[in-house]
Amino acid sequence: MDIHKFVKYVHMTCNNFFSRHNVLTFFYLFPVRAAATILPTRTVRALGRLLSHIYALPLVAGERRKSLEESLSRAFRDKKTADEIKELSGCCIHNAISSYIDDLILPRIDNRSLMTSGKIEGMENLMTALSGQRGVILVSGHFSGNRVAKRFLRDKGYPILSVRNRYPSHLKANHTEMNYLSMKWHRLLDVVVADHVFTEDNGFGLEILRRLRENGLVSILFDALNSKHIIECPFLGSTRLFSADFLRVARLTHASVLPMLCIGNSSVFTIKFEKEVELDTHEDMATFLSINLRKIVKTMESHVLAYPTHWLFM
Amino acid sequence: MTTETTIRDRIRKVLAHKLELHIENAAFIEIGRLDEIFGMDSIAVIEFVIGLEQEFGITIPSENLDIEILKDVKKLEAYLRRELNDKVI
Repeated sequence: MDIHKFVKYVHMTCNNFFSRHNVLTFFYLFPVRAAATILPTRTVRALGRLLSHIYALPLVAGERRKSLEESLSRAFRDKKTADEIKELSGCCIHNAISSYIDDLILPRIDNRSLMTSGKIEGMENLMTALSGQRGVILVSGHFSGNRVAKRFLRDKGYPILSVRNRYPSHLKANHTEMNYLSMKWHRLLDVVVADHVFTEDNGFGLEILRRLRENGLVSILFDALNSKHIIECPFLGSTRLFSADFLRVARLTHASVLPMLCIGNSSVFTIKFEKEVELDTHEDMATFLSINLRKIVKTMESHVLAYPTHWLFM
Repeated sequence: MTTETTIRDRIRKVLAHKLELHIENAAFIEIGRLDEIFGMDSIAVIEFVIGLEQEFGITIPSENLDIEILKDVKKLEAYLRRELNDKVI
């Protein structure tokens, strides 16, 4: 066998079982998580800040920062200088790590301190939607404050059913991540996101229907590929795939669709409810999904442009 | 009078109209489990539930929105028969 082919084969095989991403995930799920269960939350946050500074170093996250800078440049075209883009990419990493640290400490943060850390904008929009008695589908992207916002709203008396993927949807997930780390990760998230259904479960549609009929809230992260209907939409100077099945649910149940934005971390965070989306009615399902999804993607694009460092999928 | 056969026919009608699943009666009995024809598309289950409610003029209460009832033809027939009887009474 050609030596180069052999080296490539060994590299691919090893990567399939053991990647740098696996090491970082393992580090987070075991030693960092163990430390977070015994250290005071303030210390864990400080530890998180320290880790984010280390991880943001170009030497450690060179590839990640490069891809972030490319995405940010594409999103802002010529509106930001190279230095500003560099700074933003560093902030993206800090915010992502803050969000991961929150996952470790959220179950330990008491209700009172959480209530003083968060604020809601557009609560009247949620109230108006709830007054329709048809249930509300809260649509958002993967923003930094999502999980803290859900805990906050639950504590305020607005429990939200989260729709989640059981397995990682990104294509780079290798054998170790799919079969071991993702399960450990989900066990951690099961505690943080107490109220959830998995898209892989057979009856998840019924759980959504039940919650909407009780005039409850259902959260959909439509920038994750967890849907049978996926539509490509113009987004941030390029195109991106978005899940559209939540619009099928809205059409069937007449539930209100409300874009939601959650930014920040458990120290300071903001939840913003936009006005209910007026869905265009079309007989043809494909047209209905395409037109309305584009409308919602535009709102999300404006969220990302306003808070680029808080979108975890940048 | 509502018999199991007619209930079954009406379930088939919902599947045909709402989900565009045209299943012959013989095949329908053989399938038994509806989740085998839904596949992984759980949104189709919502469509099916709403279709059943429209067809039979009932509202399936939250506690009965159970995949175990909906995926089993016999259980579903029995459930709908009970609901229809209660409605008549």
